[in-house]
Amino acid sequence: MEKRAFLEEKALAVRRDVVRMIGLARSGFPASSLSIVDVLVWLYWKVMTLRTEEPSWEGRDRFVLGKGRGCPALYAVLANRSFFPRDELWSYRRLGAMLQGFPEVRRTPGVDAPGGSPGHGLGLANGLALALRERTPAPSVFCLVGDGELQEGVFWESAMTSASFSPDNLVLIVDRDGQQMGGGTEEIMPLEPLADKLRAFGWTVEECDGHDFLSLEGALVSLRSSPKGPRCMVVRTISGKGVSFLEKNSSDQCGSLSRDFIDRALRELERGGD
Amino acid sequence: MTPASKITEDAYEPALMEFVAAGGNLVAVEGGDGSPFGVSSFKEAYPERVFNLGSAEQDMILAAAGLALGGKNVCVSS
Repeated sequence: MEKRAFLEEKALAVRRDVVRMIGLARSGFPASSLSIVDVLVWLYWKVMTLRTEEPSWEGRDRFVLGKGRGCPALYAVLANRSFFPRDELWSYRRLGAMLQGFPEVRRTPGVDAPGGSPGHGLGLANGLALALRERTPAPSVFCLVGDGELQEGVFWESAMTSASFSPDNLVLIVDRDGQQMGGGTEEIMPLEPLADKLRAFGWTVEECDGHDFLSLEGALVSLRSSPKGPRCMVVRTISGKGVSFLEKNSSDQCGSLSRDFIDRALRELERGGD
Repeated sequence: MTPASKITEDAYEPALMEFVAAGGNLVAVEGGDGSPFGVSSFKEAYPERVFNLGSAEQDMILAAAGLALGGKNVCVSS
């Protein structure tokens, strides 16, 4: 992939923006945001059909962020793709600012769906995909959910709906970082064997490395060549990816983020993620 | 025009039929086993406009919201 180095450079820039904006807000979920950076960079620079100068263009592909607390990553990607001025990142979570703690459609150019209530993303994405699939060409809908959300019952209702109505233009992406608020998913409410569960619900599932652009691409190509039906990528990621002490510490820091914490994280990222 | 004196259960489906027959654009999302707001005639006339989610009433609301996000006018019943 000739764009790989380009995507990696974008991912590093996005990570820096994520840490900086959360630091300035003194509030947010850095580990949750960092785990999904590479998937978002891949989607917004390589995969999705978009017009950055026309965020509401009807022909655009759509993105639903079920994992709403990871929105700093989405905002940083949208800003770096010029959907809105990058300066907006520095007022993240301020009262009245464009970029709030969870994505809002009317407030932020480039945001296609609200997000943040755990487990709701797929249901919303199903309806959106069904509404769009009559069009020619039918825009694609990509829905990214956190694995912890799959403990919510309504997700599995939505998974059945997907299989029943089978929107071809939908791709579900599960951010499998193994973490949720309070600890590891497998300690709290085990999800494995996750891919088998999804297949039993009628899905075609590909597993891949969520930090490797070639792996992501390969999984999507495989999915698109499969027979009709709901398609899912389970992407293995590391919570806090890109900042070594966040990767090692399994609990997601939020709320009281110290200046020292932010400075250390930025120094690592300024060194190019070594 | 469906008279206002009808109870909601009896007025719902005729209202949908009238609306679409007059050129209105609308989809119906339904759920809940044994719902008194069944739209079987509407579904027969306009199958592409009806989405039945059975007992999955939470997801019924999400699907309706998603359809609305996608530009549809949506009526939900249970």
